[in-house]
Amino acid sequence: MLKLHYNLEKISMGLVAAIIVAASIGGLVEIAPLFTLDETVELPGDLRPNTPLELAGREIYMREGCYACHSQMVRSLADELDRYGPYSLASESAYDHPMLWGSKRTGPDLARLGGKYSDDWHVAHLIDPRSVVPASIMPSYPWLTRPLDTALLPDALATLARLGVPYDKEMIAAAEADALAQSRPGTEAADGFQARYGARPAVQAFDGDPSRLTELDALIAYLQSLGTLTDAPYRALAEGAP
Amino acid sequence: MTATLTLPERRIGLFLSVLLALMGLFMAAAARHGVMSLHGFMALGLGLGLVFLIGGSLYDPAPPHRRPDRYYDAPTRFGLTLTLVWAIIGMGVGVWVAALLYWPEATPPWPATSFGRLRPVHTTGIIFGFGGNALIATSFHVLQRTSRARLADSISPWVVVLGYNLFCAWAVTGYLMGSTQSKEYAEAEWYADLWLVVIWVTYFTLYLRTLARRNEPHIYVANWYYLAFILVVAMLHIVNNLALPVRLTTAESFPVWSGVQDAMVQWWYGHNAVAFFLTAGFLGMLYYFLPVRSGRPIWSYRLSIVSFWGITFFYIWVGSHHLHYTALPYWAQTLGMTFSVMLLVPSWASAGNAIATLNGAWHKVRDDATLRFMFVAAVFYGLSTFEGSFLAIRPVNSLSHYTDWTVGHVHSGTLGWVAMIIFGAIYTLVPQLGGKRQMASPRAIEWHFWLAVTGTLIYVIAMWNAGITQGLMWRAYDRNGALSYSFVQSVQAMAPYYLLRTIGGALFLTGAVLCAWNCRATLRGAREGAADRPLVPQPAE
Amino acid sequence: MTHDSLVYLSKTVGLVWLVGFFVIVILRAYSPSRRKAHDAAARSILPEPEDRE
Repeated sequence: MLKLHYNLEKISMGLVAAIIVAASIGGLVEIAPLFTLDETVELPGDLRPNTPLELAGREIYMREGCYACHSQMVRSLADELDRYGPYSLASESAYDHPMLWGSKRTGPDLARLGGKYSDDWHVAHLIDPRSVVPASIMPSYPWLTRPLDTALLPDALATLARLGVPYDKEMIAAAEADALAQSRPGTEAADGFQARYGARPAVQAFDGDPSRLTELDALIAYLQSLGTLTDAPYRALAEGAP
Repeated sequence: MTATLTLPERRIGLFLSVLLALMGLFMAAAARHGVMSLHGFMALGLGLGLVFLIGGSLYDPAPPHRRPDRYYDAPTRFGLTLTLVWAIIGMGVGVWVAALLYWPEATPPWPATSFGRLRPVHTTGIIFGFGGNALIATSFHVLQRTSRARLADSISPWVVVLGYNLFCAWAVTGYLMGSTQSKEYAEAEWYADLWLVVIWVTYFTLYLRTLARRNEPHIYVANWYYLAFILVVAMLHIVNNLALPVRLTTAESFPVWSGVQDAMVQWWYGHNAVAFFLTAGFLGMLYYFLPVRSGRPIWSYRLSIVSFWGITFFYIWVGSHHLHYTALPYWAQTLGMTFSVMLLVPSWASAGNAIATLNGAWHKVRDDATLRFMFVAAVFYGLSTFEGSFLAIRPVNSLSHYTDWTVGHVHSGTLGWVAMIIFGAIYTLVPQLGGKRQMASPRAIEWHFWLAVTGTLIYVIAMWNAGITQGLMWRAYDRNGALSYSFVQSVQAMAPYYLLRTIGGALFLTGAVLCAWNCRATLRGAREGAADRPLVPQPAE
Repeated sequence: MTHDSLVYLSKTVGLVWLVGFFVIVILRAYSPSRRKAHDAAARSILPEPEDRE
């Protein structure tokens, strides 16, 4: 029968304990201090979380595995400052669960993509990259024109709120309506959206068609938000802090 | 499979299979639609399949009653078969996505075949599918032979092998349907992670119970490495995958960590998945199969102990070398860099130890392709750890980070070291498992060896060229202080290297297919298993 | 535990722990008393000539 009791053999348990102790020191010493980081590096006042539509776009970014070819981390190196813009600060991704810093640039870094290209450029580029950038080796994403499923957004915002992202009750309750409102400028719903999220998030028909809320709306809203959640990097660069 | 189980064990197997089926049914019912329900049906299907398999043979004749004096090799044989299946899946997808980088128009229009979803299928298929199954299967063999004792029980190994492969199947099918945590090398969703924890605890308990019943007082060093592999991977997996599901009935979840803390935890996990999954485990394999195949004891047993503690201690610190010049605090980057360079000492202690072991057996290395696989594996282990230690130095990293040079380093480790030691172990084990003196076709092993070496060299050298070209093009300034190249120009410059890489990968895949065919031919019609016997203590009780 | 004290610990304890751990491992691995056991262990996995059936 399955002998449940077994003599906890002295030597092998000693080996197990030694391995655990040896293997835990490195992790503790490097990870623990990071959790007291906010004592020295407080979050910039103007850091805003992603709006529901941007969050839905981020989920699509993750779903399609964009991190496999694109990074979101401008390093503190001269050529990267010239090519991409101010180097990325730790506080910029404080609300990113998980962080999407990435580890490979088969495609360019996207940390400062917000506002660099027009929405129409993004629509054409996502549907067929080679129509806009002939030498691009990026796959095309024709299925992004399908309607956006916003059913999980309230629960998503609630879960993130539980993890410390500043979404209040109204934001969570109005998550689905706000996702639609952000792609419908000039509507009364859009005013409600801006009452909750302020004037900084862009409110426009990202995929060019205000009558439908598509996955393109969400993904482009997210891409346009990259690097614009706080102005701290521009201030840090201006002060000349390396 | 069930022929090797006694009646009570078959009843337990039946009970566990019903439990698995119920779990699958519950998952499918709770989720109702989407990825989680499909995964529920997969578990249900596996559970029902096992119920019929075991139920059908419940009252077949039991195995010979004096079982304790037989090693239990059936799980190893089944595990090696799955290892080869995952090798072909993982490498096949690898060659396909490499080709897509050269012919992007060849991407079919369906979401499931997009590059972004296939890439984690390649990494999970190879690391967890090919590497994980190889480690589990060989660990059962090595554990029993070094302890001279049969596995502690006959049910747990099947739970581990089948449960582990259900995790791999869940992960891979999930990616194709767009279900991922987007954390590199830990993309599987929250319920698959929980399932792996259950399987991993079963694996650890089985390993420790068998060690406790060993008939050899000394625990051979290979077991140290396997034990460290099991233990530390458990720590890494649990901490890195802590996440809150959006709803208990949906696959979508949010990791607990965020921003710079998540970056550190991710790469503490990321590099140590490489360290303990792809290095410590396989060093255990090397320290058993190389001496056995060459018929010579390890050159310095004590050096292997020093190397073991060095690797277990140093590797944990080095994760932050993935984050040089990023928003990670400077002191953490420096700590990672320092330990990465120091890591060269224990790594080369093992590589040197393995190569020195072959002193006096070089004629065998010349004649026996299986031993040559292991020798080349030790050489590539030395090369890739040397390269790794220098890639971790900050100025070097500023050139190589985000480029294809990193991919070249990864594949000199995976193709050159991990895959080659696995093939060496497979070609050593499969004849024993089939009760044969040697593989069905020794010439095929020779062909496989040269395909593998050529494929690896083409792949790695192409990626070195690609990576260094990218790194230099990104940082080049022209006379009047402007950037010399746009990003897309560096992409265009990659074309010839991406083609060469695809060719290298295709050669390597051909070798793996040859290996699978050769193993099938060897194992077909093989009845009685390995000839060696455990030491049976005269039962005092 | 303030951030600075933790960082100080990381920079100092890490090094002290490293050197101490390394010394212990070297002493245990290379102590003459264990030499015989280690040599026997190295040969334990090879088929001894007498039980090669």
